[in-house]
Amino acid sequence: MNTGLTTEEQLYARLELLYPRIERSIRVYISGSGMDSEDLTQETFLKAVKNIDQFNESSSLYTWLFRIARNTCIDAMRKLRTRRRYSAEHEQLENHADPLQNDVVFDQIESGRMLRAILSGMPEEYRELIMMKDMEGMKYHEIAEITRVQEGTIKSRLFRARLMLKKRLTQAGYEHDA
Amino acid sequence: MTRDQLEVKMTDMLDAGYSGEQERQLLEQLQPFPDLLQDWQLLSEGLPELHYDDAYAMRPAPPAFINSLREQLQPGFLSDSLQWFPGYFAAAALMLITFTGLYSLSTDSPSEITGQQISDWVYMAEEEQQLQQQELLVQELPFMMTQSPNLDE
Repeated sequence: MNTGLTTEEQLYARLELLYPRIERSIRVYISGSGMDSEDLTQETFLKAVKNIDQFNESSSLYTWLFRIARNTCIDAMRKLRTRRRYSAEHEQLENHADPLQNDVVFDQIESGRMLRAILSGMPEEYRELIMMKDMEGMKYHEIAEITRVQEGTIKSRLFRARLMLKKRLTQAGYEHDA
Repeated sequence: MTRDQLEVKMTDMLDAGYSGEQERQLLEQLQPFPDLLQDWQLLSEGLPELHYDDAYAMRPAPPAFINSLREQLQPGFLSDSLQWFPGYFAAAALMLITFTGLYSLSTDSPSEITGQQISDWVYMAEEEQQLQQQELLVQELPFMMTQSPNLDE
């Protein structure tokens, strides 16, 4: 189907479609650090467009973008000098549920807030794996390619990450009634 | 099996599902690792239903996102100049060296001065000077002849 778009316009259209997923992944990755995900997302896409000639059309644009986003987050976290421990403090600064809303919506918002607080308190490598595998549904070989870690190691770490998540959810009394 | 291998196996089973027989075999393999056995029992109950979209709602790209990307990628005169200056400088220097070298190797240059020429000029100057002195002597000889010194005094 001829959309009438030039190659460059098609590229920008694809990037715009991927923006929400990449921005969310960045937000999860830096969860608890206090950094602004929008700035890092902008930086990620700028790097991607500047280096678009390095993108191999046969691979996934999303995976390629994700790798850039991950590296951008890692660099940003490394530069973070003033914060030594990630805490869930910043989760408290986000919007709280309006108790006047109906119970279902209230539960959803509170459950979401609790989940964010728990994830932000987890070690970075565990949070990253939960995000890539369970949130984004990436395949193990994609995760291995991005993180440059063997699949076996990823599965082993994911087991421990899920275990930690389960224990903390149970301790927090996490419930979500849909 | 090692602990790591068992963790990999448990992850595979949790991801893909498993039969009763498979679980029985796993439980046997977990016997030497009571803590892992406990972990398996905890995880095999399943995680609570996690609605990640509620925790991390996806946000659309800002309205001016694409335009702002394009603007930041627009080249400016100053940035272009700074980027290309080293290249231009190197190219200009190379051209200067090349042309200077070619010029110096050229034997047809009218302004080329050789050592022989310098020597000729020097000797020519001396010869001319001697010639001038001889001419002057010839001119003054008659005068000098008439002005011979008085030997009697």
